[in-house]
Amino acid sequence: MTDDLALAEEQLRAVLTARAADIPAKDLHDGVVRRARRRRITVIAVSAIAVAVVAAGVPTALAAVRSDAAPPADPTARPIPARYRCARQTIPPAAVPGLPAQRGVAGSLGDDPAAVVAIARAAWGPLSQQANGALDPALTRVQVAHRTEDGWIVGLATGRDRTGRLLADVPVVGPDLDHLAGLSNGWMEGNKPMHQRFTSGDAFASYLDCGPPRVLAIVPHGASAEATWTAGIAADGTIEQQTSPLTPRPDGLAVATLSAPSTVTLTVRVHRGNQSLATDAFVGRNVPKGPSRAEMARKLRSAPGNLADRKNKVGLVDQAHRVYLPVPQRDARVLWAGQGAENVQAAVAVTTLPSGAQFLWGSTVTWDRGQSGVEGFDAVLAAGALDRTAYRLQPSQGAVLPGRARPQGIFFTGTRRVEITSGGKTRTETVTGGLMVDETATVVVRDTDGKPLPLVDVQTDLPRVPYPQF
Amino acid sequence: MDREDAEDFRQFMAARSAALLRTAYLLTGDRRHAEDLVQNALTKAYRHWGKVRRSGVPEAYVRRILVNERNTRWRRERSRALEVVGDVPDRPEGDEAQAYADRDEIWQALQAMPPRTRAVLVLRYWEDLSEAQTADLLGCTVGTVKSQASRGLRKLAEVLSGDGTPMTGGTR
Repeated sequence: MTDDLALAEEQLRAVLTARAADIPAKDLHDGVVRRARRRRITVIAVSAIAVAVVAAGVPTALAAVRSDAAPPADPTARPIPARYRCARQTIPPAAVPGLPAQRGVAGSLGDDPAAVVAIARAAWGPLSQQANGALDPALTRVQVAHRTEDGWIVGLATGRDRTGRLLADVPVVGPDLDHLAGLSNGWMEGNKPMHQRFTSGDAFASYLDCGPPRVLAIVPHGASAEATWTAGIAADGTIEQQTSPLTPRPDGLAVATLSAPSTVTLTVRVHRGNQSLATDAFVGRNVPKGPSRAEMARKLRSAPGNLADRKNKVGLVDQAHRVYLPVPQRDARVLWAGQGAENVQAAVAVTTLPSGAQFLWGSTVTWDRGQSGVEGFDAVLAAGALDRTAYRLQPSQGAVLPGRARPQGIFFTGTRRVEITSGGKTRTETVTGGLMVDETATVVVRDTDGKPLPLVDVQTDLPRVPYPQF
Repeated sequence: MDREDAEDFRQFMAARSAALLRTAYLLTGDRRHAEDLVQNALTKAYRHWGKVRRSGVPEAYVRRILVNERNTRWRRERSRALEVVGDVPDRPEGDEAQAYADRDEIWQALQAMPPRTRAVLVLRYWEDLSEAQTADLLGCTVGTVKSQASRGLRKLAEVLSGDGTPMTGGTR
């Protein structure tokens, strides 16, 4: 077995090295600074201009393998007017040396040679950049050439190396054939490994971050596609989910312009029944930000409950980069932060949404044999429901000691009388915020008038905002 | 952030962001996830860059955020819904088919491992971190790193010998 493990290690190192080499160098600096300063969430924000700076840092071994340089930009190419530049920075069109005749191009312009060549020119620079200059121009393929209902042009091109391995795919977008932009940081999302993509029957989906909000999908025979997003949350807690079906053409191409505002996070999905074939998600540029980590750290310190070492536990209620609601949140507070006698800690927070509905979220952390497992949850509450209900929270992770029950957290607003019945005995406690119950027990939380509050399981009984499928 | 910190951050990004992106890709198996992950990690580091810089080990700091962020996201995704696994990829044809097939099977097996096992393998055999460094970064014991690495390699050895079955995702 020792030899087998040595071989496995050797192969693993080779695979990791080969796979890592698939990732082109990119300068993320501008995107990071923009995100940090503007406090906006965007999935992709890269400066293509600065990529050359990082490209110098590509290992020399990689450069030696990939010796073909990308052709220089065509000096006759017209620069892209500022009003047409896309959020994803673009590279000017360039001539593709030795571009072969293209056949079987999907889309309404698939038989238009001028459109196909224009798309290839727009895609060539980003294709070369993504592939670190290793493309074989003779294997460049325009997959899509299409004019949309609003007159824009949408295209897609792929590039392979001399051995035929697929190295890059680049969507192309523009208001007309003279102003096409290859999305230098764009690609189609699919389920296959990079080198095996774009064979017959493949499915792809992508959001095109350029011009009007648009999605592009390649839909195999018998499959369906749609874009979905959460448009709002009503006072009664109803999550307003909008779906825009994408109707594929006979050649499998589906392109749709969406009416989704920039405050939403949308998912485009190609599926066959319940099986996802390809998904892509895009976080709108103006998605409202939730309460900050610093704010939640402050709220956590003063929250009711017996949680110890709170300075280091803000992660339990930090929703940064995790939850994408399409509406702003206000009045954040931590309802309860507690821990049990065994190995579970929990914290729960809530904010109020413009409709009056509330957003509830939090986490449990379970410690088990030196390792921890965190389970997050979130849910939507109807306006006013919070004060009329007690909630139950039980982590699913971690080992349970023989003869013990998995701890459960019970939480609510204010100070309540709680009856815990276990082993035929009932004890009553007056509790603020909530408590962790470590034994197998029936719990009843009484309202101020003595009536029992309904007990709702936050993980199974409440609606939650669908998470984008990145 | 003062000018000195800003310049230092820029230099760090120019020097290390490509390596971080590759590590993130190996952890996630998805280019766009990887980029998002690195941006999130660096955004968090940027906000405290002065402190990070003074720590003297900015890369270790950022790498720790990266791994934590990955594990947090995975837990969250797992808590919401099980991902539907797509079709098994087609095999390439030709003389290189076997080599590709072996490597592809290893990659697929790596993707199917629990995040912590995968992180151990990536940090040990791609980043070449020691067992102690890996344990420190993951917040676990050296013994855990050893056992996870051994378990992961055993799984890969089974895959190479042709009697491996996909490893199901664990809970940590």
